Amino acid sequence: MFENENNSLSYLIDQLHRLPGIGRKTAQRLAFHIIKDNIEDASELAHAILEVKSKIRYCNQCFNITESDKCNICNNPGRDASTICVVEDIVDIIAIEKSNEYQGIYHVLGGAISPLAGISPDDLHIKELLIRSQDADVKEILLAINPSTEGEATMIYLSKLLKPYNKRITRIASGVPFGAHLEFIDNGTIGRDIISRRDVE
Amino acid sequence: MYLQKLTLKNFRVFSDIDITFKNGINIISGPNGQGKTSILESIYYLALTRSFRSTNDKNVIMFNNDYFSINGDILFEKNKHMNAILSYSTNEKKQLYLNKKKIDKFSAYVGKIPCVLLTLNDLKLTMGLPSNRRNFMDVLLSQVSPVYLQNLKSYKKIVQHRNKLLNENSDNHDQNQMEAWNKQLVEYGSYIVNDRIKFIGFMNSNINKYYNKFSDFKEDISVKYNPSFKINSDSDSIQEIMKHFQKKLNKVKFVEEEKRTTIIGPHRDDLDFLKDNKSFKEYGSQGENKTLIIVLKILEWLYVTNQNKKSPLMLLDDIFGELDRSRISGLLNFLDGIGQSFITTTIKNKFNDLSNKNDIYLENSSIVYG
Repeated sequence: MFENENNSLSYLIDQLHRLPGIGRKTAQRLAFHIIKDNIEDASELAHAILEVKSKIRYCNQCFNITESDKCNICNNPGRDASTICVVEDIVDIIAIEKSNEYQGIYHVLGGAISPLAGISPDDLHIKELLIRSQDADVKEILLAINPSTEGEATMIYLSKLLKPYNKRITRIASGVPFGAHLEFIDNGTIGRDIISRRDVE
Repeated sequence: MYLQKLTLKNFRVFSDIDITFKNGINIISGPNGQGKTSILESIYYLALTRSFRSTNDKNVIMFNNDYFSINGDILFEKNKHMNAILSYSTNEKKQLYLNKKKIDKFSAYVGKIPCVLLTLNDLKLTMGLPSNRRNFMDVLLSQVSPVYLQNLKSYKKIVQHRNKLLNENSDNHDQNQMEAWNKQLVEYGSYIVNDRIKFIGFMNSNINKYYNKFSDFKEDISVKYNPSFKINSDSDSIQEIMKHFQKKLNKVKFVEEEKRTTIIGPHRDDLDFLKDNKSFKEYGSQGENKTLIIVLKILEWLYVTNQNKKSPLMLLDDIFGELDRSRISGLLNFLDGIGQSFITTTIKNKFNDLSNKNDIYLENSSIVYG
């Protein structure tokens, strides 16, 4: 119907459809909502999008998002700067922060090593992590990377590079999720879980 | 367990059909092109979430429609029911529901309805490509353990990553990254090898018993595992397999860099079937080959039953035309004693001697029970 026409509506639908998690139908629904909206609301949305693009930057220490040079977490003197938690993406920081269990600071890699996706170690913020790790105040590096084949490769790679710095290198416990059944967990995961088993408190 | 009722919507030639099956042998007959094989295909689809005929889910949808669904009711002992629905539409991913609950991880589902398939294609199992024999083990072991399937999926992904890396980095390869992939390749690959060794051991302790039921001469049949690195199949622990794998991987480093591909690991495994210690490929006759394949399928059924504690559905697609009287009666004898099986055929009266069977006749894609 209108989708094949080269007009402003199909242009908007295309642009919305480009966003992650937005299918064609959702894009249509959003577009029609914007059409029904009054002009003030629509320009506020457009303004919000442009403002976020002009104001948000990456923290020059950890690559979290911020509106100044350093992010809120790196700037917070209450955080324990001797522990660096390494994550793939900014959303992982949000997940860890929600748990209220972690008091240290972060380092965002910007992905995981994946030859198939064309992501090599040079594409990630690994050099910056190595520079930060030289600091004598840093005592522990906690690898909180997603448990996938790519995440695992990244973790093995990082632990090799970090070894000469003589820091404590840890990884978050992974594998069997709470409420899961052992019979459905792969051998690799169970094997690693058994190697990294701990005493019952 | 057995499949009690199957409902197909827009699946191949069936726009909307209900079929009731019985426990025991179900004979699906009718002229060509009526959808006999499609019924077996849909059962296999529901069990393994993919087709044995087509690699593209779209091809299965009935012409001029945009979705298909397969709905099966399974009855276990003690009147326990299970309902499974697999559907696919062109604008959504494949969806799977078990007892009305959505299943996201298909690998945890495979094996809930185990099945063993025998088609004319399987006649190439012994003589054809090594990938046929790996596929035979993979389909079977995936139904025995969801862990095998997950290991296999991870392993295949790692091989792909590694091949890409070998292809790019021939000049300035990053040894640290390669080692990160090697560690995982060895880990997942060794678990796969370990599971295959167990199954091959099972085949070797049972193959003669069944083969000689079909054969007038006493012959010694065995299966030899040909992995891409040296192992001692009888005694190696998983740690030892990993050690051998890693050792061979280090050894072929330069060959891999030259060939730019992963040349060691279970994706290069093969099986050799031997008759009196001589290769079946070279010394087996056509008839012996058919016997061996029937026996392999029987062993598949036994192994899955043994490990999964559920008896697989036997799906036999149009193979009886290829078999002589003694092989037919030997196979039917076996089928008669096990749970449920499905046989497609154009020649219905081949099965007249069977007393306990369910006849399903297909004409113009509708059903007559007889």
